[in-house]
Amino acid sequence: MHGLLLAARRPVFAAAVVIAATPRWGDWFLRFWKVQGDRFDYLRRLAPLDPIEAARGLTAPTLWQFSSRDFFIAPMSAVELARAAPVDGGPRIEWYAADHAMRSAKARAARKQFLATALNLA
Amino acid sequence: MTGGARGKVSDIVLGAGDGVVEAYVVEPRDGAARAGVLFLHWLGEHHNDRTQFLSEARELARLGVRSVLPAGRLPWVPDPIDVETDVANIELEQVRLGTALDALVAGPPTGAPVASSATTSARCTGCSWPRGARCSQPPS
Repeated sequence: MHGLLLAARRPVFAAAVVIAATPRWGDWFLRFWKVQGDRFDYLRRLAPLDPIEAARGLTAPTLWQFSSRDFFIAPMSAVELARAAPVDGGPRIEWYAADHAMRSAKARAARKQFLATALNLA
Repeated sequence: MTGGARGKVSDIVLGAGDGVVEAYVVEPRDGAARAGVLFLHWLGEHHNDRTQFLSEARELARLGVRSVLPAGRLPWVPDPIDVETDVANIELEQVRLGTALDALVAGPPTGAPVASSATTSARCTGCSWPRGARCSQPPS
């Protein structure tokens, strides 16, 4: 999530891999910490920094990896985030039979191959 | 893709003050890097730190990749508490990760995929790390 924001602000990346991210900071912070103040004000103030806003500024080819059994990231949230990126033909989303930890050898191999291609390592 | 020895790993500290960031740097053991990868770790119950992608970075080092793996701060260290503090901490994290990115692009040659214009002038004279970096394990 921090990485999406960095990629939008510092467009030096030739490629990006995003793993099990959620669209908004509030998705995490409001649910799992005791954040003080008005919930809606919190969401509104953090909105410009949200990963989904950053995704709209992505310029590099991006691989999105999500887990099909992720308690924390609903599939609809995953798709909402990935689709925010301005990519012709839609985002490249991969789903794995894993939980939020994404302990998947297939996912690991896929991002290695993606990076090898994107960075001309072959 | 070519094989070869796995990368060498160094443990460094970048930045200063609130923007300090601990990071692993993984480099090809034999030869200069031709690309770079910035690995940002997750928040979870295992490998909840900059070790998460260490083995992947070492694999990529065999392909000529230099990786920087910084430690995350928010929400690993400070908890989210209120909007003012959290906005400030998100921005601080951008400063920290930007420092890690600068350290990354200073490594591979200019024109390597991750870099725009590599700041190769920002090296200290005593080692291969960017000026201002403190090396807890000097490069071997």
